[in-house]
Amino acid sequence: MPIQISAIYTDVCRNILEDPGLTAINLMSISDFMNYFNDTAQDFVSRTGLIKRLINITADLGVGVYPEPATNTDIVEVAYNQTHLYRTSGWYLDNSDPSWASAVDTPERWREDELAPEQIQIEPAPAVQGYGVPVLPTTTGYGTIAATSSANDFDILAPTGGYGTISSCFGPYPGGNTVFAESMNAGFGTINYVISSTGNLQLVSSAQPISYYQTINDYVYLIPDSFTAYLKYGILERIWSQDGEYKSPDQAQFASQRYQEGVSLAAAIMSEGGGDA
Amino acid sequence: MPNVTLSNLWSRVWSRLDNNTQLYETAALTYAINESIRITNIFIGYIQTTGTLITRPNQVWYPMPDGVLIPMKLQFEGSFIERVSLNYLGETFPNWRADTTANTGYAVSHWMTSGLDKFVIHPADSIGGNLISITGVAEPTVLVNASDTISFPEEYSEVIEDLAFTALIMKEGGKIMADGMAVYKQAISKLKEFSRWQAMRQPVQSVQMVQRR
Repeated sequence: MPIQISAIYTDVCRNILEDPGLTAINLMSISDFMNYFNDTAQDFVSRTGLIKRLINITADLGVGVYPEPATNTDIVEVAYNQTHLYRTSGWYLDNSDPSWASAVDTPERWREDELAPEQIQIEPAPAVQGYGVPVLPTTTGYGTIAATSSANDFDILAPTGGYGTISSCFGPYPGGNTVFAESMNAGFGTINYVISSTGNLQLVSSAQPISYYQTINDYVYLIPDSFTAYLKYGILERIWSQDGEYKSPDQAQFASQRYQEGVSLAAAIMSEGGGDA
Repeated sequence: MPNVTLSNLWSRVWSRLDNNTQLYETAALTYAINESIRITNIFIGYIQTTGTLITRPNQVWYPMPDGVLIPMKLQFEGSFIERVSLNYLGETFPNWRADTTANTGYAVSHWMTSGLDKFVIHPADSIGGNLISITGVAEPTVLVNASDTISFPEEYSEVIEDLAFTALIMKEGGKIMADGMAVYKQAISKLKEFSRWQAMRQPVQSVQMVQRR
């Protein structure tokens, strides 16, 4: 049963002795609470890697540097044309092959150091253009987009919300047409059959928890119910640590300990027996 | 395993709180008990379930079956297969995304999780129609009404009470909360003794080390 943010809000109010809710004496507003909630959820998901996203990026001919979509945090693995790329560094590339930056061939390595934030570079740059069907940035995609698919594999990158059922665009199974859809905003409908993209880049990365504005009546996004218990402690740590009427160092310390327990536990589960390590 | 009702758990926790039903009302107690059950379950995995699905030809990525919160073991057509990590799979089989039982000549022999909501089998089953069973820790049922029951081993009941107690007294702060820290440390210490995840670490790493040599 999904957990509403309001359930966590109610328990946080109990713990700061504001049982009727934050609006009773207005020392803190509900939007302040939501800020604490969002910060805590983002921290929890990025530090534990509980949910991974598969992100396909169209590989462009001769282009080595690609922006990471805003929906992910740290990258765990990169593949090109269904083949694993080895992680490397700028220092290694500079010293092993000074002319590496101009090489164009089948990519073998990737790096994210020495680049601007939220960018990756693959080396050598692709020698062929990947497949992609761009959606115009100023428009929103509505309805069925199955008609866009053909014999090739496609990525559909929609900067605005996509609506309608897009499961049918995955084509007849097995084989046939396959489409990967990644929306930068809320997307509705059904997406079936996640597969690896041929001819393009595929990133496996930890999901970013917040891609749209949440309200107190929304359900907790991305974090499984059992782990939401720890969000309360992260929020309370922030509230009790701040200067003001609620400041309470000893309670903040205890809440911090409980929150760290949750982060450590979740991270341990993700690393045991087949995590990212 | 004994069945315990929510009202029974209320009584046990309230007795630790001097039966102060004014400061610790029913809703707060219920929330703390459910939180404690969830956390205890994550640590020791006492509520488990098995989810199943049918393979599709050449499909590598699968969604986690409903109800499985933390996957632990996977059976392919009744046989357990080896769990590996993403890094191991990439370094050992660089083309794992395209590998199938037909193009490699191997049976499905590895699986890995990709977060908690997806998993991968390697090589992909080129024929499809085979049964995959995943056993893992499940989400506990949320207790709402006084007569709602949950079953768990008796040795864990004290831990659940301890965690609920410490969650509730946190709001008092000061000496009462500080005294409760001892109870919290005791509960966490017990949970670590029971923890299922400690037992899973060594065998998997050993297998990978042997194969890498």
